[in-house]
Amino acid sequence: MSIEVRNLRKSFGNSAAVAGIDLDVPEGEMLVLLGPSGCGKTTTMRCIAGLETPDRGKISIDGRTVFDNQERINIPVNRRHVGMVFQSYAIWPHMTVFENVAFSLEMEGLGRSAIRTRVDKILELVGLEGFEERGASYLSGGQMQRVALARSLVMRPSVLLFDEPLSNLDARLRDHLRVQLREIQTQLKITSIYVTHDQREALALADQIMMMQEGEVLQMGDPVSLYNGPKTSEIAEFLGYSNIFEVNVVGERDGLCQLAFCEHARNLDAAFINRNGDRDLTACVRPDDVSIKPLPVTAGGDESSGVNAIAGEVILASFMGSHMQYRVRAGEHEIWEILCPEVNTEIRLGSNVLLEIDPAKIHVLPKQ
Amino acid sequence: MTAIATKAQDRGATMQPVWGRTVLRNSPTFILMAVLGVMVIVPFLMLVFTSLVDVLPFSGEAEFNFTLSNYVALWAPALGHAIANTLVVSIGGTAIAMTIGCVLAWLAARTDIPFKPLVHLCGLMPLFISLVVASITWSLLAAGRTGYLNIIFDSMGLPFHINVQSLFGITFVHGLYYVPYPYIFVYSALTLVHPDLEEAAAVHGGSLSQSLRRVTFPLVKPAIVGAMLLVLVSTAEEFPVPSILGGPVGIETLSIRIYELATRVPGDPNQASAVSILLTAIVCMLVYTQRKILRGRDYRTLTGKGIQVRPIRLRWLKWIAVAFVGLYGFVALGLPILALIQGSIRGSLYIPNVAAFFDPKQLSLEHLIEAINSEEVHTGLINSFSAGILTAIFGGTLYFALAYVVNRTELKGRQILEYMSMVPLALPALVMGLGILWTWVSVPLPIYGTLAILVIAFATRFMPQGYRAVSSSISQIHDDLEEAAMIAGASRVQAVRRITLPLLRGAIVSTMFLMVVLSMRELTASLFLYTSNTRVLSIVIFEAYENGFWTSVASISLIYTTILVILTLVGRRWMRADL
Repeated sequence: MSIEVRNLRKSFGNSAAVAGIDLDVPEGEMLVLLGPSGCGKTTTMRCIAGLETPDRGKISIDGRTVFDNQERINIPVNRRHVGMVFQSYAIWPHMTVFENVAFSLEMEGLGRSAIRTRVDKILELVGLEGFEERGASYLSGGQMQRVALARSLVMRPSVLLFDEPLSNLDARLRDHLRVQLREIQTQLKITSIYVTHDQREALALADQIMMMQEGEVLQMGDPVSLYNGPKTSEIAEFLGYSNIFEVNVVGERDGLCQLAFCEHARNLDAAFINRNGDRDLTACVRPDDVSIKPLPVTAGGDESSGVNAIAGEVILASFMGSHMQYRVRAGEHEIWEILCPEVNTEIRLGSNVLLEIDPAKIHVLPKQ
Repeated sequence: MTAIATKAQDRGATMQPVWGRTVLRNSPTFILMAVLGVMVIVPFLMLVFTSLVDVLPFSGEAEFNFTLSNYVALWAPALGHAIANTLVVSIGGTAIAMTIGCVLAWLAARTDIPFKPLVHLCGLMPLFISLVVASITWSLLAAGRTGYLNIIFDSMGLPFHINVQSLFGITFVHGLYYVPYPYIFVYSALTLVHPDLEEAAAVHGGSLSQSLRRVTFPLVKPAIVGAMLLVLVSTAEEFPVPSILGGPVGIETLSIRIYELATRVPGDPNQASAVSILLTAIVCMLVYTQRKILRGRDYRTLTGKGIQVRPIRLRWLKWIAVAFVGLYGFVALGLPILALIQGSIRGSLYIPNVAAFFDPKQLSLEHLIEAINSEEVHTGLINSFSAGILTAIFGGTLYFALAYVVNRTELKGRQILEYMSMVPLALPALVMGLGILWTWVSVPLPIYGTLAILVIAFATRFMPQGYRAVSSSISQIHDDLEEAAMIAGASRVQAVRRITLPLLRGAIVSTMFLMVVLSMRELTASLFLYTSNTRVLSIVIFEAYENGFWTSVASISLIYTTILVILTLVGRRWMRADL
C-alpha cells in the first residue's frame, strides 16, 4: 500500500473541509479525487503533502507514518519527499528552467554533475531539452506545466500529487498534455493523487476515482464501473448524465418497471431499478444513450409503436465535429439532451423528431 | 520504485512531536509582539501614565499621585484657540493640497499634456523637500516687509503684501507641500482603472463626462478619500510649519502647545502629555473615519498590470494646464530654491530694494563656505545618513518579518501584529517622540543619547508605510511558489531565502530607500530625542533658526535640500510611486 489515509479530518473555522476520509492508493496507481470546488479534494491532498496540518487522522506514505495525531507525529512537508504539480504551476520566475528543476536535487545535496545528468534526463522525458537556460517567466503555459512536472519528477518522489494541473490550459493543449501525463505516470509507475473537477479528465487518467462532496466520499471505484453505475443522481449528474427527471414507479410489466414522471406527462420503462427504501427516485439518461431520428410524416400518432419512444421538436442543433448535439423539447418543460455520433442532415432546428431510449440505459437512482 | 521508497524513508528519519513544534512555531509572533510592544505600546502607555500623575516618570521621585489636574488645566481659552487653529490649518491645507494633487494626477494619468515627466516630477518632488526648509524659505520669501516677494511687490508699486506668518500662510504652505499624497494615491488609482471599464461605459451610450462621473470617479473615490484623510491627519499633527511660521507671531496649534509645555522652563511635561492625549484622540478619530469610509473598498488592484491608456485630448486647454503645472512647480519648488540661493550667498540679511538682489557688493559666498566647512554640519550630515541607513536596515528587516508572519503564516495573533503596526498612524510624531523619550530615558541601556533612539523613533514613525509596502508586495507573490520549494525539500528558512526574498528584492530595496530619504527629512520625531552628539541635519537647521542665525540657516538648508534632491533623483529608479 503506497498511500494510506485513515479518518482524516480538517476544519477551517467551523466548517469541516474534510470530514473523516479513508483512502488507499496501491503502489504505482493513480487515484483521482473528483468533485465540485469546495468539496475538500484539494484540502485532502494538501494534508497528504504536509501543506496543511489535519485536525486528526493518520497518513502513511510507503508504510511510513507521516502524520498521526494520536502518536503526535507530523513530518514537515520538506521531509515527506512528495512531488506536487500546482494549479498555478508555481514556477519560480527568477530562475531558469534548469535552476527550477535542479532545486530539489540541490536541497538533497547532490553534486553538480549528478544534478546535471538527472535534470537533463527529466527535461528530455517531458520534451523540454534545449530550454535549460530559458528564464522561467518567458515560458508558455504548456511549457511551464512541463517544467512543473519535470521539477516534481526529478526528485523521484514516493508520491506525486497533482492539483488541477491542466485547468489553466486551453482545450487542445489540455487534451495533449493529459495523454502525455498518463503515459509518463504509467511508464514510471509513480503512485499519484490527482485532483480535478473535470469528469472527463478524471475518467481518462484514473485507476481509481474517489468522488467527494462537502468533505465526504460519495462513491469510489474504477472509471468504468463508476461511469456505468453511479449510486445517486447527484453523482450521475456530475458524471455527465444530462437527462435527469424525477419519477415514480407505477408498476411492472414484462420484466420492466414502469416509470411515471413526476412533473411531466411521460411514462417510460426501465430495465432495472436500484430502489433504496422510499427515497425520491430519478431517471438518469446519458445524452449519448438517446437515439434520435426524424419523425415519419405519414405515421401520425404512431408513438406507441416502439418502447420508450418520445416525439419532440429540435430547439437546438449544434455541430461538434465528431458528433452532433441536440436539444429536444418533448413537452412544455420537458427538455432532452442528445449527443449523436452521426450527422443527419434531415434533423435541423425545428424538425420534428422521435427519440428512443433502450430501457437498459435508463438508470433509476435515488437523489442522494 | 523500491529504490525511491527507501530513499524516502531515509529522509524522514527524524520525526518531531507535534506539541514540541507548537511552542517553537509561535515564537516569531511572541518576539515581534514584544518588539512592537516596546516600540509602539509602551511609549503610548508612558504618555498616558504621565498625563495622569503629578511627577515625571524619569525624575527619580518615588512618590507619585494620580490626578486629573493635567486634564483640568487644559480647560483654558488658549487651548480652545489652539484647537481652532489646528483645525483651520489642517482643513484649509487639505483642501488646497487635494485640489492641486487631484488635478495634477488626472493631467499626468489621463491627458495628452506635454512635458509629462515634468508633471510627474512636480507631483512627487515636494515629498522630498523638508518642511523645515520649506517653512524657512517661505519666511524668507514673504514674512513681513523684508520678505523677498514683498520687496519685489513694493518696487513694482503693487499695493499689497503677502504675509506667511499667519494662519493663511501656514495653511498655504501645508497645501503646497502635501500635494504628493493625493497625487500618488489618485495617480496610481487612475492608472489601475482598466480603460475597458470606461470604454464599456462609452459603448453603452455614456458621454465622456458621464463616464467620468459614473465610472471613473467612483472607482478612484477610495483613493481620494484615503489621501484626504491622510493629509488631514498629517497637517493636524504637523509641527515645523506652524512653529516656524506661526510661532514668531504667537499663533498656537496643539503641536506647538505640546512642544512649548514640554521644553519651556519651567515646563509642565505632565500637561504636555495631556495635550498629547487630546491630539492623539483627534487623530484617532480621523483615522477611524478613514477606515470606516474605506472599509472593503480597496480597489487598488483592479488589474495586475499598468495599462497604456489612450489619453484624453486637451486641445487648446493644454496650455492652460501647462501653465497651471508650471505655476505650481515654480511656487512650490522654484521660488524656495531661488530664495535659498539668494539667502545663502548674501553678506547681510538686510535688503533695501530689488537692485540689492543682484548687487555683487552685497553678495558673498562666505556663509555658504562656512556652512560647508562647519563641523556641526558635517556631524549633522553623518548623523542624518547613519540614522537613515540604520533605520532602513532595522526597519526593512522588521517590516519584512512582520509582513511575512502576517501574510504567510497561520500563527495565532498575526492579526494583532498587523493592528499594532498601524498604531503609529494615529500617533502624532511629536507625541510619539515624547513617549519614546520617557520610555528609554528610564531604561539603563545605552539607547537614550545615542543614534539608536532616533532609529527606533524613525522606524516606528514609518512603520505603517513601510509595513504596507512590503506587505502588499508579499501578497502579490503566490503562496504556491514557497510551498513548491518546501515540497522540493527546502526548509521554511531555505524557501524564504531562495524564493521569497529574491522575488521581493525590488520592493524591499525601494522601501529601504524611501526610509533613508524620509528619515533624513524628518524633524518632528527627533525633536525630543536628540542630544548634543546626535544632532541630525534637520535639527541643526531648526536650532540655527531658533537661535536666529538666518544666514547660516539658509546656507545649511541649501546644502540639505541639494542632498535630498540628489538622493531622490538618484533613487527614483528604485522607488515606486506608491506608499
